[in-house]
Amino acid sequence: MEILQIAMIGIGAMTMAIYLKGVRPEFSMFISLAACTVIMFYIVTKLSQVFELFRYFQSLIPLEKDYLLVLIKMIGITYVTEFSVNICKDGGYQAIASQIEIFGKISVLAVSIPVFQALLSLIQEMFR
Amino acid sequence: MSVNIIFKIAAVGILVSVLGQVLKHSGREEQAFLTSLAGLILVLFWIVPYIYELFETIKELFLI
Repeated sequence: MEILQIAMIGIGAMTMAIYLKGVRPEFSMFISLAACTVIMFYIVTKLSQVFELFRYFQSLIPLEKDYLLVLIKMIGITYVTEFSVNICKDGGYQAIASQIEIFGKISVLAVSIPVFQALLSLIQEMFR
Repeated sequence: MSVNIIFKIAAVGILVSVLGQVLKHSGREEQAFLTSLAGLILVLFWIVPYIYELFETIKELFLI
């Protein structure tokens, strides 16, 4: 199963990173970055299969196309934000991590503005 | 997108640290610093295309 590969990659990279942390700290950060990137690639390929399911759902239900796009974009933004925040925290730089986190939250809010507008206009029509 | 980049980075890390120790003990302090810098830049050259490719796939998958 693929999960075994992922677990082996993670544990292998972790052992090497621990050894190098004592000798060469910057290389331990490189190793964790490389391991995160490789594992993220597996995740992205797996996630693309899930998105095929989303597209199939969308063809069944007459849902607005851009609501699904907003949802997918939100997932992407939060995912990349999580990835970079954890790496910065690993390196020990909390300030940079919190800045990225704040930017991620605001960009998710910005992406979801059209959905709010549609909701508000719907409510207005109801009360008219 | 394979796993051997992690082992390459670990190998470069160990090599640089050993080289640095050898150079440090033989009195050449600057060379030790330069080799560690060279190792750092080499690993950077390896890892940046990886991350770029990853973010490209993310961009096209999530339509960001």
